[in-house]
Amino acid sequence: MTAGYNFAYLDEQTKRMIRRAILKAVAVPGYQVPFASREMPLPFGWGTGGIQVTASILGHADILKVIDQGADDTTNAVSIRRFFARVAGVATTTRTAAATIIQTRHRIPETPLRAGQIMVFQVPIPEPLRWLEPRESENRKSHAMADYGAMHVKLYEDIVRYGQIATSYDYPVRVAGRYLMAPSPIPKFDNPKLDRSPALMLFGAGREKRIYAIPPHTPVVSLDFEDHPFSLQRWTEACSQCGDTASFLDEILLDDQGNRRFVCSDTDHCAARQAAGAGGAP
Amino acid sequence: MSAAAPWAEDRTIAPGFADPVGTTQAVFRTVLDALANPGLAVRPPAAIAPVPALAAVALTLCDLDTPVWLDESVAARWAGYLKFHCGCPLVAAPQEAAFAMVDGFARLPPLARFFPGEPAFPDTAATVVVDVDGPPAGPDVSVRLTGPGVPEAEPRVLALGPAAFWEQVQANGAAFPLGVDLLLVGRAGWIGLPRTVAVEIA
Repeated sequence: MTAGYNFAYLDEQTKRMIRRAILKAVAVPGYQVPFASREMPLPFGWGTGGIQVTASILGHADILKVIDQGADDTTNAVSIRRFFARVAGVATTTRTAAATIIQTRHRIPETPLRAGQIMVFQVPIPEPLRWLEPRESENRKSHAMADYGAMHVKLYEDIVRYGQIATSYDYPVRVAGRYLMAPSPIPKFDNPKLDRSPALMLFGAGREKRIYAIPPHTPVVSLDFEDHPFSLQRWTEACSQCGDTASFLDEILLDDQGNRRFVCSDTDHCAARQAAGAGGAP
Repeated sequence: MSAAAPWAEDRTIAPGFADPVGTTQAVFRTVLDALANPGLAVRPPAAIAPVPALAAVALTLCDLDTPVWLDESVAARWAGYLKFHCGCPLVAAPQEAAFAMVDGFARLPPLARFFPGEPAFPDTAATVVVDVDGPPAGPDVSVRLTGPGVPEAEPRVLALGPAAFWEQVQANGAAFPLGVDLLLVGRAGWIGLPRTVAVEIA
């Protein structure tokens, strides 16, 4: 089952180090805990942070779901799911409701999460201030002093330039009224799902060597202004497979004539609706 | 008559977990659950037996990277065990410890003596583990806990620990993001009190 590897690939010393980082991340919600990220059998940028977090929390009884942009059947999701099936021998699923651990790249499932579930996010750039100030030393001071004025200026400049806040993914949030946090490149459509979620949210950035967390039932506020409140994108189209108008839709170009079609980004959600008899939009 | 040779005296060290990989994972998830849901009593896995709770936490989280402070009573019984199984350095001063193992509220030093982290690196703060079945320091009081990890509509209520302890937890929380994180272990379950917890003493 797991021949040739320790359970869940990582050695026990590494797991202990990551587990200690996870516990401190939970104790200081939204703060990025540095950790000694290991080389994994796939390159940085393919979810090594998420994989290390998953490997450190995973047990025999867990049921793992892995999604990539909402889909269970894309390369990254399939590879990571098979990786853990092989090195840990755990059960895997594509059903959100059946999973105890959901590792994700860039989406939160449409099905509401429940208490006891753990979301593990793959994070490319954990530092929300990175594009405003490249120096880690300065950003660390900003976090220590809760000085996040620069981010508000950035959002303000968006409004001046485009008439609205143009950030549509990795939209910065304030966790429990203290730390500014990058929610990883999830669409801002998913930001409200972070707020007071009954599930525990863990974030792993392998290349950047950071782990952070949002405990269950924790207030998570998307930054905005009184006269420019945070708003979600909406579609006038419905999913062409299941007809849903409320889920996050991917746009698919069909030909060179500009014909296009929209489908649910969350494949499990879409398949469940189709199985229940929902039809697609024409 | 058979005078025992000096080397035959009982120097055995009690064993660790029968299944170290599986049991440390289960213990970790218990601790994670407890700290992510402050005030909730989480049942530790049955597989830790016969290892007592304090030692189980140490076997799960402590190693050569974590200086550990033990109160005198724990040190007398478990110093050799922890050195052998975890390889962790044992320190004499509480402020040098990443982890502290304490048997009962009566033996808990003032929380302010543990390292609370620094503003740029609050994750370097100590984790203090208290066995609440140990000697008490006073009558248990009732407290109401809120904060991250606690549903706003359902504050968690505990009747545990003396008032002086909870006053220290309040002071500890006031320094957020600095502060130590507490784990109370006992027969009734394990309870996490991260520094984010807000305490109202009844």
